Amino acid sequence: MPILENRFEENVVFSTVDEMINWCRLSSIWPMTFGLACCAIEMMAVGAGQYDLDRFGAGAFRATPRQSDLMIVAGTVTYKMAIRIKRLYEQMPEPKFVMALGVCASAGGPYYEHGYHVLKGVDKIIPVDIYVPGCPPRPEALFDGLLKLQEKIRHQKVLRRLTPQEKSVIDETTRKYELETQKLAPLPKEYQA
Amino acid sequence: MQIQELFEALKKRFGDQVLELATPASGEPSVTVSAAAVQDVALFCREDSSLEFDQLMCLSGVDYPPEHLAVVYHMHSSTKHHRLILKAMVPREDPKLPTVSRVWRTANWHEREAYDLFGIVFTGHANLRRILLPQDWVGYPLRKDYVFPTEYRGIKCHD
Amino acid sequence: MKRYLLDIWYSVISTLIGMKVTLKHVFTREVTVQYPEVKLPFPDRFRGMLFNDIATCISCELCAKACPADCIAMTGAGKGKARYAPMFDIHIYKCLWCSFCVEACPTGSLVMSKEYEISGYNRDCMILHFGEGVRPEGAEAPIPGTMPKVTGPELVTPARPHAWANAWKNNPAPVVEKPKAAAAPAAAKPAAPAAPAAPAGDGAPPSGANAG
Repeated sequence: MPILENRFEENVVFSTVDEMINWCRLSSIWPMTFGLACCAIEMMAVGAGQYDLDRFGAGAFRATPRQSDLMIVAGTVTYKMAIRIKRLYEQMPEPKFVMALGVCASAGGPYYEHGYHVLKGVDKIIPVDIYVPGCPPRPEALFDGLLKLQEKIRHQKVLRRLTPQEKSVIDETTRKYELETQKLAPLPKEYQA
Repeated sequence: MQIQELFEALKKRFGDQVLELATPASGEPSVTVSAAAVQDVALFCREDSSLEFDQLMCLSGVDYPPEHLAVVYHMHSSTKHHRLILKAMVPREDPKLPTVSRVWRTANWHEREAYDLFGIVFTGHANLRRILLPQDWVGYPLRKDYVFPTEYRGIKCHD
Repeated sequence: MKRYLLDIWYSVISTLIGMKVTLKHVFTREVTVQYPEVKLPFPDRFRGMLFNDIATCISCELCAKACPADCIAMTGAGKGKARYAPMFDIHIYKCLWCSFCVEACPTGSLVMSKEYEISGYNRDCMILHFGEGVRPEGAEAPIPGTMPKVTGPELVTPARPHAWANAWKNNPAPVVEKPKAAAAPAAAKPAAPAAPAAPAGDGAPPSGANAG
């Protein structure tokens, strides 16, 4: 909704409409099938019967970024994969959310000190909404992260105008990720397959 | 066959190319051969009717600073039930030795990995590219003098 | 026409065959745990987030040395039996839950608690601050070495849900000198003004945290 987004005053009508939109969004967070390492096993456990992610409307794992709202980055992100993650994130339609599952995806984890090949947190390339530490986290910890993400979505402003403070935060985030990652250097020609 | 007999057999066939037999107090004994003869030795080990090393279990690279890199071949014979560890030292400046990927097919990816992480060049390899790291990666990470990168394609590597 | 009807018939039959499995599961025990309301009990040796009972900690730095990932940052002050840790941060984002630090701890102050729900909206949630600021109000410092080592005390999860998540937020560990009266840690620490735990709901800084 680029035309209508953040255009309206704060009043009872648009508050209600925003509430409605946010409720729709948070009740059907479709995650992307995206497991990178051992945390993906916990993500699978979350999808299975004992924990059942479908109770929160988030059980429809999509196999394509174009149909998904939430990217659960589950596992160690290497630099080689980081380029692909960036591309997948750009292919997701708005509104899109990112959950960094496990300490590797959150901040590099055990590879923080001595991993030459591991990205030190996926927030270096894409904005992360929720961090779930654990090595790997329990399925309940993922639920906890998901519930907190829903809480975050519940308080978003969709149609209502942002306060200058909120706007500056959003602008700063956008600028940061543009500066840091939009201009990923292309692969040199001799290496392109 | 015991390691001493294996060593004798190799010594008889290759003479000076087989350098030494190392039998450390802990760990398995190994035979060091000269790097140039690795392919011939490997082919002999596989084809000779008394050796029959039909399986290459592992191919590893080792870094011995400041002068040498080494390639270690763990071989196993599923018919004779004996095993042998071959070692070949190459100089750090020009780490080149012939490939064994034509002797054992499984050596293909192992050699690519050794090239990827140690920079050992296997001459005659059909497709010697990096296998784990990105193609444009700089340096060979498992060498002991490796310097961590500060940036990879615009991504900062450290906080 | 016959083929058309047969197709319908087969689809109905195959659906029923599939639904037979569903029907079978209607009468079995339900396995789903209704998470936010019901939580699974964990075994005694469950490895959750690390917790350091700072009253018992003697700041010997054995845990920091045992850590393979360098995730414990601490300072020590005082000498002999009065030694304590003014700052004790666990960078949980480097942790790999190997429990080496817990095994190394000589007093049993560092334990693996059963807390696991510490996800947050920014990276700060992954640094656990202990130090002097997080001891619950009214809690007396236990005698060093009396606490069980692996199971840990039941002081974290049931009584203070998410207490850590708020304790660190506006309450960096105070780096203030201890009063001279602190002769022995077990005897003197209850007398010092204990920092109240931050309430679980809001992130208001505990007022008495820096008083001591």
